[in-house]
Amino acid sequence: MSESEIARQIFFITKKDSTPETADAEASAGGLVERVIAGNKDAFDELYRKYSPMVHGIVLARASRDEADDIVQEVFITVFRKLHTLNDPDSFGGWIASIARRRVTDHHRSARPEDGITEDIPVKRRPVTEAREVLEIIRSLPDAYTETLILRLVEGMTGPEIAESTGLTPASVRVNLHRGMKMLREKLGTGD
Amino acid sequence: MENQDYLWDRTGRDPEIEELEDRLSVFRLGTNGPPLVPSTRPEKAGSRFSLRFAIASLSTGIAAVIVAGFVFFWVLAPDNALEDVALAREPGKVAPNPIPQAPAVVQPVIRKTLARVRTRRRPLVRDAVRVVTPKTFRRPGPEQVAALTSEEKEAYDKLMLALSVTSSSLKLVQDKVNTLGPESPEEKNIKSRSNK
Repeated sequence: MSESEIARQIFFITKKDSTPETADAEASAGGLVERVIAGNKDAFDELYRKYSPMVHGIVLARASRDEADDIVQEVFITVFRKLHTLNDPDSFGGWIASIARRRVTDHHRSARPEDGITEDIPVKRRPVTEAREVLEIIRSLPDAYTETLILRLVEGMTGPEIAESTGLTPASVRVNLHRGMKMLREKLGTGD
Repeated sequence: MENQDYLWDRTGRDPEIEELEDRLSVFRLGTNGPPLVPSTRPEKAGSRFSLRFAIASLSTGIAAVIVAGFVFFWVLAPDNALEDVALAREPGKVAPNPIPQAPAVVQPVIRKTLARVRTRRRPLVRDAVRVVTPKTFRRPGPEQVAALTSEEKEAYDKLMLALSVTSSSLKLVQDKVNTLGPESPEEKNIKSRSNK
């Protein structure tokens, strides 16, 4: 690496670190919410990118995959409309999680009886049947374990990410993960 | 082999969980972008509330000023304040008590309110006494009577007649009371107790 590149990297690092608090504040949920309320469209896209996996996981714990995609969109439209009613922008994660749970409940209530949960998975990707069975087993666990395991195993979020986005404490997430995983292993027949 | 750290933050390796992740990844959120939302900015929090709060505060303030004025000029003012005002308006007369002066803007409102309340108030004994107190009544002079119109003169004559009838009736009552004689010892005892 040439000296100029090293110098440029140092310069960029220095420049980036010059206002770390401002950058963190803008990237935090509260900062994003305030920017969306101020009319910043990019901030709304950032909110979607950051929280859509969590919302999808919560919805997927209660609805089929096809329904989940639509419900996620509806949740974010609701969020945009009602964002001004959020008193504490830093509690955005818990707020949007409660909206997602309520939206799934409303969706099932308004759905016709023949609209059962159906999984339409592309056949070419994986042994779908097994994946669907595993998902059904996860759904049969208690709600707290189901949501946390889906966020971890389906959406690929880590424990700290789950805690940050849902507003739960890291300790609660850790407990839910380990107890849920233990129950899942028992049901899959792979437990000790 | 089970690896608790991998389950928590993906450090290390856990083949079983990795296999589950791989298998369940087909259910992961698709590549749909965010929903299209209106370009207008969402309503700012508290804008309606601040307007309502301002209106409520203004209304409360106005009500508080009215109540305070009412309390000050009616409850705290001496009972004979109106008489003092009347005395003070007469040329050459000085009111015995200092008269609180309200701002000129609210004086008509206070005057109307006081008049209404006084007419609705339950009459007290001291008010009846005050009617016959000479200081509240000033007989007009001959030049003032001559300056009256015919209607005012007729009203004045009727008022004088009514006052003379009332005066003679009160005189009769007073004479009757005076003829009852001195108080009995028992009445004197009761009166002294009440004074104590």
